[in-house]
Amino acid sequence: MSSCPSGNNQQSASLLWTADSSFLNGVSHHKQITMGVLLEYEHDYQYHDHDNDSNDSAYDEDYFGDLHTVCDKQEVRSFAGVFLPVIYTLALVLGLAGNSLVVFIYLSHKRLRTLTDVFILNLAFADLLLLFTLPFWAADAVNGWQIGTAACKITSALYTTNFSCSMLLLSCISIDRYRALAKGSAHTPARNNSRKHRIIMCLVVWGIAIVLGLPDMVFYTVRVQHSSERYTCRAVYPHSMARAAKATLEILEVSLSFILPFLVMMFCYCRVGVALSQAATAGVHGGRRWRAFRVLIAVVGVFLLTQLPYNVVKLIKTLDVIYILVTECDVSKNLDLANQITESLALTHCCLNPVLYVFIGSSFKMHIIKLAKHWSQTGRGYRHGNEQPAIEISLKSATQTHTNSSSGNEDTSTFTI
Amino acid sequence: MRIPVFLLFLVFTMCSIQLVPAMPAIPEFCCINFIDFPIPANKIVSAVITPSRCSSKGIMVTTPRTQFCVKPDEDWIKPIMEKQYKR
Repeated sequence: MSSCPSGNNQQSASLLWTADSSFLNGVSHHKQITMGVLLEYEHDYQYHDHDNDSNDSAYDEDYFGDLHTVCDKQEVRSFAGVFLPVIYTLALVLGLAGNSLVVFIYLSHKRLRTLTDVFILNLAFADLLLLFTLPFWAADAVNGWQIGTAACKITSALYTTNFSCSMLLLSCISIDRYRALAKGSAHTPARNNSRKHRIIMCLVVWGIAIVLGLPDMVFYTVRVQHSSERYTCRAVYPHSMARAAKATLEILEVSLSFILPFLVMMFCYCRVGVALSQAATAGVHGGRRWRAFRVLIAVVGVFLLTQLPYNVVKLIKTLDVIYILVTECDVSKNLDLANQITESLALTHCCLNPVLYVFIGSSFKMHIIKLAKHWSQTGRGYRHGNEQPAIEISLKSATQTHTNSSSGNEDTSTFTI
Repeated sequence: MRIPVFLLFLVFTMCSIQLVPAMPAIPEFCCINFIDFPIPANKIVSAVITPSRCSSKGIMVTTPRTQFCVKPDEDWIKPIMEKQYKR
């Protein structure tokens, strides 16, 4: 305690020495330490006010710039208010169309023959549930959160649960594909394909995802923003939670939602790729092998393209929490902008999953073609407008695959009718 | 046989970890640089802790003319914050 007053005196003294000599009188009042300190504070602040009124513009600017320490992020919020609703609307329309078509085809026509089919169906459900939360976040970005704390917690938990579930299912699909290839000759999957086994697998995956969503139930709540008097749904950590704990959470999030799925996919699909290369020497048809390679490259490539930028930005922000890397307000705002953009890019993965895992598969294309023929022959108009792009995608793929095939042309003519 | 072992590892790893991923709200203001001098108590209009999603923890002090960022561990700001919480 004894050192504090002298420290403050030194600071005040140094400030006074840089200014008019008339303020030096304040330093001489040492009769009582408490009163002296208060008097110095008064002089200190009066000096600032006086300086604002003076014509010393050079010093005034230095003074003002140096003391403007609050980093206001209104610009970032304004950008989010315009950018996020547009992105969320596009993701919602495309994602609903693709995933709904997957669910419809699987439940009405296609039998779940393999474990991968079960995972793909669950993936479509998870993506649909994730997409349903987007309108709430878009409204939050524009008008703030107006539907209460319970809805805030539920929406946040739903988002996290389904995002985690999506990543887990991608890992399971790659594992199952690798396992199917490794045991292709020995047809033992009778046990693995049992109904009970599939149910257990799905329960495990969804159970893990729900557990990962529980922290949002705890931490997310509605708070009023100080400057705009607007409510917002956000994570509020207890004051007792240390900086290291927050950073650890972020690092584990990056590890479990990106690094782990990526390593699993790389391991399994590299093994599949090696097996395909070996199949070349065995005389397997080149076109079919090349198409399988293309599927693998597309799956891993899109995963990296959508998830890597977001996790890099998140890692940078985590390092900033630990080491306080950011020392400029503009850098901090640009980091927030980058986070908004890359997170929106990461969201597009749930729109691309139907294309990556279903529509480029040959069996699913055949089902779509049969379905389209059935509809066109019976004259029913059940097809929804949003489903048209998906069918067109499939048609183009079919056309590219069977360029010289007369049956391809025949299918094309059927679609045009 | 591989899949159950792998999922068992996943269960064990993830159940023992608490994660908080979700759509982050944008902090309305943050503190990056801080003042190194005290502000008289009678000049302080309000003192607010920065949102928890800011990388640095700080206190935004509002005076009649402007706003300052103060480090929470400054001795002179602690009694002001304590008084704030009692209200």
